[in-house]
Amino acid sequence: MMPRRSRTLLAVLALASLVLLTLDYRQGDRGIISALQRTATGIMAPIQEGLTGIMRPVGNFMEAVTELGNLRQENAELEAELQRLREAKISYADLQRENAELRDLLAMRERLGYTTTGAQVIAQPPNAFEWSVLIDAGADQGIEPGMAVINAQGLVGKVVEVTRRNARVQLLSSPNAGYAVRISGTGEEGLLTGRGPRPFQLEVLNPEADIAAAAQVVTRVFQGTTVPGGIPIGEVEEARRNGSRFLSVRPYVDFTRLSTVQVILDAPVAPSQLPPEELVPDPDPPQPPTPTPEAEEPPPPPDGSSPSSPSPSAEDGG
Amino acid sequence: MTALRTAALGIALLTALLLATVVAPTFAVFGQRPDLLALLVIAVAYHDGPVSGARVGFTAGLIGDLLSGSSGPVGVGALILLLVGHGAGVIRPYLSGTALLGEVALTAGGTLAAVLGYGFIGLLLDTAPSDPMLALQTALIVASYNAVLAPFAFRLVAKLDARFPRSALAPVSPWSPGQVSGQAPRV
Repeated sequence: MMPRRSRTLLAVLALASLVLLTLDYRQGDRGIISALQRTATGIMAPIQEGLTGIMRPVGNFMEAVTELGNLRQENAELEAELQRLREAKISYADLQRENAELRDLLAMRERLGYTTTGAQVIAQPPNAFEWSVLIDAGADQGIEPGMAVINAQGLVGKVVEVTRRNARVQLLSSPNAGYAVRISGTGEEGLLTGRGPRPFQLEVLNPEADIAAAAQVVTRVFQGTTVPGGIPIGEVEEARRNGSRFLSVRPYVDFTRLSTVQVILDAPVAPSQLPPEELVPDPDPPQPPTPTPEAEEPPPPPDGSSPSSPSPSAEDGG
Repeated sequence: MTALRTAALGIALLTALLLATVVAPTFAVFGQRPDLLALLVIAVAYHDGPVSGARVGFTAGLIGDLLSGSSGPVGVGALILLLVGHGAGVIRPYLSGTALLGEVALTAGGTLAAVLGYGFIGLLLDTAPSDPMLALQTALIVASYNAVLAPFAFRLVAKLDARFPRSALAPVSPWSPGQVSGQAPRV
């Protein structure tokens, strides 16, 4: 049995606690209890601050001692984390680049309004004198020979060989490739030929036409072509002078850094559906070529066939 | 209780509060610090009985509430340590086994009750997390920590008791440690 004194004391103190608690809870920060608390805290704080200053070295020492066992493990973990972050940084930069590339590709696709399928370049040319790449999309994705391949900068080339899951793309820079093009600003027509690592060669059909430097060259719909019109190719490097027949065109596409491309699945409009102004009349009987000093090498016909060896693109045209 | 003894207990309480707020964080285990105020209250209650335990508990709790700048309302600590101090004083005679085991068990139980009490009242007043498992986990860690420190705290209080004995006119506590350990009660 608990003594009466003890019970009384317990009851009184418990009641006092509850009164304090209730008062403080009801009055909040503006009550007398809170004021008392603030005063007491103000008195105690300097002592605690001083003691903290004294204890800090001890605390640091104790912390070091207690942490000593974990330091090696933590060091190893931090090393691993650092390595992971380094790798992540590299991956992040690559992702950023890829993201920007894909955004540009998307913008290009929307601008052109074609149905496309994306593909990754999985193999570059095996030697320095071959201008084709292998992509990771093929017949299963609806790709057919002759389809145009673009990236964010412009026309990359066209498909020349298709398997179920892969396709080989003949690059625009290939000397075997020839494309019907036009100057976007003036509409002057011409034939474009790849020259490997060098700028493209543009043969202007109208010898009187004035072509300014930096004029943009785009593809032109040609009878029997499978490459849509209006796809950017490059810029004329120098203005036409002295009625020269051949001009150099600097490509937009960097053929040495191809990664993501899109294959245009839409077949261009059939010639019978082309507007009359787009139709090209039947060619006249062949005339004997007139040699000119600028003509270093004759361009292939616009259907993409090679003068020396027929290529698969010959029947697709450009 | 003489004035000197009261002053000594007051200093011990302030020291415990300072140690709890400044020093103990350095020695945190699993993020938890020992509850030195509860430890001192239990030790005093063990030596002096429920009346002293209640007085010291109430005072310690009130000092803690006022001086530690706690976010909860003033009175919570006073109420909890009052009950813990009184309860420890009441329970002590019923503890069996050696004195050391009794000290450790009493401290662990008392601290567990104190921390859970803080958690419960904090839950009622919406000043503590409402996760019972977290409260229990915290209480177990703090109780274990206090149990480890119990022998040192109990020896300290025993020395303080020897240096500043209770008044000769004070009633003999039927719960004095002497009875538990088989010695004659001190007067």
